[in-house]
Amino acid sequence: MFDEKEVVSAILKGNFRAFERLVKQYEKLVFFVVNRLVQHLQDKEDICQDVFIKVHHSLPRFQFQSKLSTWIARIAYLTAVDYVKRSKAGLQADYPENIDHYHFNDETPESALVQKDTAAYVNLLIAQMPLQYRTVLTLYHLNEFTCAEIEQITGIPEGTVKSHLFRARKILKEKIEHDHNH
Amino acid sequence: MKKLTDEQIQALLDDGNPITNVGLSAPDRQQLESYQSLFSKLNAEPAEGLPFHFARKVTAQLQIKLKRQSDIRFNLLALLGVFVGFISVYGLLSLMDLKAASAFLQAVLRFKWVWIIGVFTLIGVLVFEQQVVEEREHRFNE
Repeated sequence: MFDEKEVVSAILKGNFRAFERLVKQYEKLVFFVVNRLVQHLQDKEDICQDVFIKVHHSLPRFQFQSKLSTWIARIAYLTAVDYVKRSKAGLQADYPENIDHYHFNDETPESALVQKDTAAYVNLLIAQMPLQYRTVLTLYHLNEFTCAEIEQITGIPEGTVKSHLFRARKILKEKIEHDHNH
Repeated sequence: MKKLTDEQIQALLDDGNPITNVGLSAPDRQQLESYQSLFSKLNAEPAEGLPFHFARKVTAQLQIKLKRQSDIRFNLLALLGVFVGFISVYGLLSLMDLKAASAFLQAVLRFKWVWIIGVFTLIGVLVFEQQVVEEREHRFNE
């Protein structure tokens, strides 16, 4: 049983085993966020490490005003976004905001290869989407945060989170249907 | 028969309640199935993940980082302590005996190169230590 308050208090007293427990508890959550926003696998691991070092550094300021998972997810999100902005991969964030007129790039050899494996194909399509849509889909579906929690994590208003979720899922469904019929 | 919109289908699936196809028109049923399939893909965890010993690795790195910070702090404090010590001795001597204070200052200045080399050696050791730790971290990561 993972008791947030007990573990945080132990970490603040300098207990590294407690910190290891915290990392084990939230490593999936952090990886899911970083995985969708960052492309390169080695960078993903480095960023996840960086996130947990930041968590340890900022823990004395954590006041339990939100869930620990939400707070850690916010650090992961901000760290990954910062990385994306600094790297060339950040160019993807420059996609037009109006996703209704968005066109996926399906001329890559990779896309042709993975179309038969729908799960991999969905991930490939998501990777091509604007950063905010990728983030919202990941936090909602993989990390199982509510729209209100996603607002706390990303700063995107709850209404916009819902709208991003709806539009992203709609164009994904239409794209898969379109590919299935052709 | 009432037609379900995309919003309604997504809301139904978001609620997580079991949905039956009974009573739905063929196009609605197809839409629902497409969304159900998409939702299951979106909820599926990625195949790749972090290495098995990730937590242990991060904890070890954190310990190294904290130790390094503490060493740097200690060394800089020691340096400051020596500097403050000299000033205090000189201050006390000038209160008690100006000649002795002057002789002390002369002695310190005569060995100025020893102090300067000492300070640079300490900084050099800190930089060297930093490099060794970084190398060790790099090897640890591989």
